[in-house]
Amino acid sequence: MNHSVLLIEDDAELSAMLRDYLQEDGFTVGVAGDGERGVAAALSGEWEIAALDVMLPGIDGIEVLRRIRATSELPVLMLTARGDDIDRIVGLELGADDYVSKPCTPRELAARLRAILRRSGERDSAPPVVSAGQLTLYPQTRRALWADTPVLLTAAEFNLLELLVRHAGRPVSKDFLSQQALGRPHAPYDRSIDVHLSNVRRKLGPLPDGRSRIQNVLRQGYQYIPE
Amino acid sequence: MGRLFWKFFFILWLAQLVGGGSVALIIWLKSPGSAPGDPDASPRAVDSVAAAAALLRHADVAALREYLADTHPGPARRVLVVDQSGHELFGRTPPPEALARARQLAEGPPVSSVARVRTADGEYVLFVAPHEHPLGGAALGMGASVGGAPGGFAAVAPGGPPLRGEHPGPPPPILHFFAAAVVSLLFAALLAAYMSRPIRSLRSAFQAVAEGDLEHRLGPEMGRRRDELADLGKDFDLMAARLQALVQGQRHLLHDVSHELRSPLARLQAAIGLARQQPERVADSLFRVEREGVRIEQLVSELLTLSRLEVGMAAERGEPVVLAELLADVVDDARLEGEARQIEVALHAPGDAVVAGDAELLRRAVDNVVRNAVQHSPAGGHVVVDLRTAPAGTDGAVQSIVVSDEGPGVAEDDLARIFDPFFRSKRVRAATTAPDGHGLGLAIARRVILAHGGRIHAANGATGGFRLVIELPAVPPSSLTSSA
Repeated sequence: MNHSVLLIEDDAELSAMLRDYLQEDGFTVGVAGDGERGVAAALSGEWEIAALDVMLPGIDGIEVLRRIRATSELPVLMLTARGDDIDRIVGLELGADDYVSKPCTPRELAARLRAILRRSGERDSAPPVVSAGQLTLYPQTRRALWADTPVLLTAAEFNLLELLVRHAGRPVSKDFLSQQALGRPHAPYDRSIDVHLSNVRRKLGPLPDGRSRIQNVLRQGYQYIPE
Repeated sequence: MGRLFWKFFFILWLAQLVGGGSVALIIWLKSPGSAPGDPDASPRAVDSVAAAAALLRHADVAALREYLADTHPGPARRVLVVDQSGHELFGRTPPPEALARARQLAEGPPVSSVARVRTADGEYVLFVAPHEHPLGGAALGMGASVGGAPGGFAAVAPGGPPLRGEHPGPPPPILHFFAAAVVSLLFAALLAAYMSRPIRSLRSAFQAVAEGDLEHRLGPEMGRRRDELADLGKDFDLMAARLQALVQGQRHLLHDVSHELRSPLARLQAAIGLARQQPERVADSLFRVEREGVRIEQLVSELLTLSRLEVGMAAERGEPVVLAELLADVVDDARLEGEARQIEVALHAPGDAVVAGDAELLRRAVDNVVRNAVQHSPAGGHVVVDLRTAPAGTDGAVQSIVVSDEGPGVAEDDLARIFDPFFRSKRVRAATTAPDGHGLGLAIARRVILAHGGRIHAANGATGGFRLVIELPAVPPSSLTSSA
């Protein structure tokens, strides 16, 4: 089965080459040349994943992501300039699933796209329900309920939370989280997991005693605190 | 409180003390010698004496007595009227030395504080006793001697302190000095603070800028102050704003440069990836790799040119450049470029206008402008390059090169920004045939023209299209022959 990927990229030459590459690699590829068209295509439901360039003319990538996330949980991979940490963190906070630095090899791009797709596609083999206290996760349908209220999580956020809940009460290392949830080894100075988990914290709210439900355990990683 | 405050403070205080002391000294030296014991020479005393003297002169002693008895307590009451035998009109006892002095003064040249009046009854001396001479209990006796005066008088008389000599004497000079010192201290402190405060805030502002806080402004701290210090503050704010704009401009440029370099690099990597993936298309990929390499090289050399121009390395001029030749050259190249899309490039260059400068840089500037026009022209469009030669010999004449095209033009708001490095208007994006532009061409052209003392500006044509005007100072024929 071919995965379908939407490229939102203004450089026509680059997107033509990437399309060639990804098609050869077994993807079905669509290209949107600017933000407006990108949002429209992303929300059309035709695509399984979007690769979004942050530097776009007109409405920029961050704004495109915001508009997509307003109504859709479509997995999004951001293409950011190397070293531009602000774009990265803002993007992750807005619910991007991962990022790649912009001058990247097409092979790396394809691998990242596959990693995200694999994670969000793992639903079939997943156990039907994982729960801890008031929180119930349905990995197959990727739904999360907090005391019967739905919690909207992006694919990356869901994966991380699922891992933490499965190991509730015990710390889980960042390496393990990165490898399992994001499909790549944890790199030093990579803030992706921290940003994703800070989003999850915000969405879940604090414990009754005011502490956060997801605790950072020094040098060991993160831990989910059941009630 | 800085050192400056104390310096201002002490200097100002000293100045006030010295000034005040000098004024006091002058007044003391110039004041009429009113030795102790002299009659009161204060204006009110003088007036009272004059009034009493006039009454005595034109009426008689009885009228004067009635007048003095009726007047309210005040200096008029204190007028002593003494006859030749030394009797006072109301029986008060004038201080003997004051009387003697008054008589002495009355003998001499007329003075305002003493009046001598001759009447039928005899001669009277009128004066007001000096403060330091209390009239003693005589005042009470006066009430008795008035006798027939209205009862009210006796009641009023004791209330008239001057008559009884209870008027507080002038405060001793040491008190004067002390008050002056305190007041001047206060003023010196206020003035010193007023002067030194803005200087302190100026200093902290400089420190802030030195530490990299270019947002710091002095305007609010200066408040409504209007003087040289406030102007200094304004100049500082202006400087900080300029610095901030420059630093931000550089930061922007760096950001843009890295982004611009990234695009060809990303294409380069994509091409390499494609070559790996599809070895049968290696030739195609290599072609792309080569093209991206050339683009990167172009971008870097243009950036170098721009930065050289920014630091003013192109300032050396003097080489005469014949514009018509230069334009013919540039237009030939442009025609080649426009050929594929049937774009016609017309040149009107009458005469042989000459400017002074660097021929290679000027060629590059004009070339960028003309090429920009060609790239934005629709297929089959016309580009017109028009050289308008100023009449020779006029002082400050300019040669203007007008390049107009039939392209889409630029939004009015963007007209000034098209000369910024990497700025790309909607016009560029709309033109799918201009992939080679880095957004540096017009920035370089502007730098070159400015370095040659000229001007460059852009305008949308009244009937569509776009127009770029380059103005260069014309070289007077005389200096041309000397330099040629």
